[in-house]
Amino acid sequence: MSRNNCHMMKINMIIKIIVLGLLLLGVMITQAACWDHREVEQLGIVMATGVESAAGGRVRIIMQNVNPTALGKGAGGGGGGGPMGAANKPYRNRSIEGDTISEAIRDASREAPRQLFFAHNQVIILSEELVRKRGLQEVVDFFQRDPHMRRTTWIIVGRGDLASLLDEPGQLETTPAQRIDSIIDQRDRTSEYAVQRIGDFLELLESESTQPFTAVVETIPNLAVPKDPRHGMSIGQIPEPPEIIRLNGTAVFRRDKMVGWLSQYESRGLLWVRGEVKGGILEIPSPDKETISIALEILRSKTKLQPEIRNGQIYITVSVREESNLEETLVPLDLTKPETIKKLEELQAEAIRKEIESALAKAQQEYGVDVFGFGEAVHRKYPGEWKEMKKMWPELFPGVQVQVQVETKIRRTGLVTKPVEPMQW
Amino acid sequence: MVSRLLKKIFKKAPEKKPSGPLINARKQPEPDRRVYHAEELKQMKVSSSLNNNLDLLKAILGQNTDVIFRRFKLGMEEQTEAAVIYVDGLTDMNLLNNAIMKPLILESGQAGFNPVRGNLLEFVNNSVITGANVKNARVMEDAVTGILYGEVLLLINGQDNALRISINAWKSRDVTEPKSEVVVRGPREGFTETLRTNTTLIRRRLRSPNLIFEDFHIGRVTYTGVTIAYIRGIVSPDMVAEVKRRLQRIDIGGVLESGYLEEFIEDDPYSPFPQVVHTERPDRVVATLLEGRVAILTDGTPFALIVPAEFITFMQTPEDYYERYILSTAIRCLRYIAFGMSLLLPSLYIAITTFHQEMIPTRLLITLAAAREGVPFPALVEALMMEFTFEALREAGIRLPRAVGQAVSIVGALVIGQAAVQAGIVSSLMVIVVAITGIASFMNPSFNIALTMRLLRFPLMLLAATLGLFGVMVGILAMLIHLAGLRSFGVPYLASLAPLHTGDLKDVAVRAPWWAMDSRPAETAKLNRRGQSRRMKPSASKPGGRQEGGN
Repeated sequence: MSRNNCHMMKINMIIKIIVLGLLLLGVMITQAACWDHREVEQLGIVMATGVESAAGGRVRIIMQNVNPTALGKGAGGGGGGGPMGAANKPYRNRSIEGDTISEAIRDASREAPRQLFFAHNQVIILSEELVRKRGLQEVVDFFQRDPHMRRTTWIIVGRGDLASLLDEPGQLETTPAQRIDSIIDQRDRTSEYAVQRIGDFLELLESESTQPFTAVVETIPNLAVPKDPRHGMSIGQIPEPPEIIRLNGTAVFRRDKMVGWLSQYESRGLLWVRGEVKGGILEIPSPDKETISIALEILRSKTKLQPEIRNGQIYITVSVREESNLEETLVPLDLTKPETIKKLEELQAEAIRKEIESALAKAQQEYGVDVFGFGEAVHRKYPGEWKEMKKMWPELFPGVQVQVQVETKIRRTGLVTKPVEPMQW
Repeated sequence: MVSRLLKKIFKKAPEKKPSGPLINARKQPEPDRRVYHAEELKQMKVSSSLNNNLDLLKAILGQNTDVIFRRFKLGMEEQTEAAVIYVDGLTDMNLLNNAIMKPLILESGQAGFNPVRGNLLEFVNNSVITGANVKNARVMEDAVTGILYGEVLLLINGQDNALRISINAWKSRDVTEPKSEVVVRGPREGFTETLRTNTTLIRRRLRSPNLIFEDFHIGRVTYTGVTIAYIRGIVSPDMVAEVKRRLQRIDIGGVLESGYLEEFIEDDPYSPFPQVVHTERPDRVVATLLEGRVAILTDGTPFALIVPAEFITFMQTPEDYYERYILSTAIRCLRYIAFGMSLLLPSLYIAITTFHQEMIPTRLLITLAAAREGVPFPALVEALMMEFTFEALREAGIRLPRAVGQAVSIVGALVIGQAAVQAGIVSSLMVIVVAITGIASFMNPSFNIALTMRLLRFPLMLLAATLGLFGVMVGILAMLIHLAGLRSFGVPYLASLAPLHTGDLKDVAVRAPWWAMDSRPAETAKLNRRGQSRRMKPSASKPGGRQEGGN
């Protein structure tokens, strides 16, 4: 009898488990719409966010949304002409104003059919006018606080109208945002602008000494447009766009306001000091003539900052070690002689020194902002003295004596030792 | 209410005791109504009267048209009456005529029997019959069992002892290549439905006096022969005792396939994971016997069971050990990856696309959004639909005749691959996910664990659709907890990994070269780990290598 009871209890338990399981299953299937559940097609994937200042102390947000409908179902892509004859654009830009960014974005849901999704935001573009006049303080908080925002998003300064910057036609990528992102991915091929991710940018913003900086994006006329307007139009192709996007130089900030701009040349000077040059072409004069005629390709570089305080004066030694390949020469060189290489290395060191000095002159004399990290170097070596110095670092920085030491090496000279010369007779 | 109903269903049917006295079998008026149980037959002795015996046997077996009763007289002066009883079709007629009937009727007179001193039955056994395998039967149970197994029963008047002469031979399938476990390199012999053939196939590969076969008979009605095989000295005696104990407690009507036994001897009957390996390959059985496992062969099926079975044994194939070890290792790693994919891929896809879009690379997300544009169902419904279609097609393809099966797969490929996507009902990415999952599940070398994966995929998909990756993790952890507690014949299911036996890792993800496989698995061959000599790595500098004895 007791065995029977036991048997019954076991069966009861099994039934309980089964019923419980069925209930759970029912709940799971019917309540599958969990609070944070969202299907991919419900997302308005934001690829770029632009921030401009609007009238009345408000901000204007420009958001670039992917338009998946235009991309078709796997095949095609880019839309080969819609029913009306015009191709559906693979992205849509929305502009909306608000007192705060979050208000503006939330307001956008009154006109955007999809839930805006910022996790794939590639780039944040701040208009130059906004950062020069009003500063960053009021706009960066949202990008810092919102959990959807990534610290790896590029933050750049846009010159001119952001709406047109974000709608430049003729990109190879799906959206103009990806175009900018892909261009930035190739920054090491020139090292002529210094760009920041928003996470690093925010760190610089609250640094005691180093001031933030980031790249500038602008539109320039497209020179590839044929002079003859009839050209290429007869076969129904989309013509070359009149303007193209280019990253041009570096914006320099004091605290949260943009105070100046470094050209390509000066930007590389900044990158040399920061040890962030990883490639690019360095042009030097030929050993015989003063004209620029030799191009060297930078392979790698390393920089060391050595601060020293002597008699109340701050000295900083910037030692750069660089290696390069000879890429092109416009004048015949006898590369079989070690002296020639030696000479080229000296000229190269000189060129690098000039770049660094031009950046130093701009930053120290004109803008008075330490974008190089000299303050941090001093802080590391003289932590005691730094406590006194940090309050007046903006005043001290222009007076820092900088000594530049450059050591260069030419590794390879390409496939030829002796360039082709026209036969002389 | 429900429990009472279930109780009724689960309640054992009351055993019907045979009615009527046993001794009066001879006078039974209607022999066709009588049911004979093994217990009863054990009580019935073979009597010294030939007629009594024949009457009894006729009552038991006489209704069958395939049981032949042949009465004759021995070719001696006494002309003693005798009879042979056998089942037509289970015995070799040539042998019956030449080795039994001919000597008994024609030649027994010349052998010179002395009726005063000798026992007639012993004389017949020793000097007349030329069949090799002869046993005695003193009770009816032995006699009847022998007959039904294809032996010839010889009854002689005046002897309370019968002779069972084993000359059975029946039509059976030849030894052919196993259909379910095909190898490119390796022996092509597979088990057949005949138990004796199967033991032969093992014995031929394992010529050791320590290879032991032990017989059982399971099934009240079918009385099916079951043989366990193990190697004395490698296997732990406790394991053999446990296997025997579990087999002996089985009391079932019939055993038609080893799967019947599998469900009785498992450790956890509620687990979705298989705890017994089944195989058609004698070489695999021999390999596992050498590892100290026990094989269970069942008459009537080519599938042998191997116990204990850990998780990793389901991931090993015989060919791993025949192909060179570097390639085997690579393939085995691929197999583990495929195992994970067949279990997790659809649920990961659902979880990531509905909860964690930030994890997807940007370009992929855009492609995904474009592919899902216009798809009317949520990812879960889409996935369930496709999985259902896929599983249905797979099942249909297996059961249908081969010619029709191909047509089904063409229709399936067109319906799934093309029409559904073009109609915008499912996204093309989901088709790819389901297809990859399908391919990955085909890579599982053991059919039974592939079935488990097919089943477990669905709860994981539901978890993924409700709780995202968190749900998938919960599912995986629940599974791991279950697996960690699971045992197969006392051996932890995750053995070699948990509990960790570092020495046995040479046969988990990697398959070490044979010269490095110098110890047997710790869990199964506890008592005798050393299986081969050490330091056998071939080296070019020392031709011939080192000679070392040992077993």
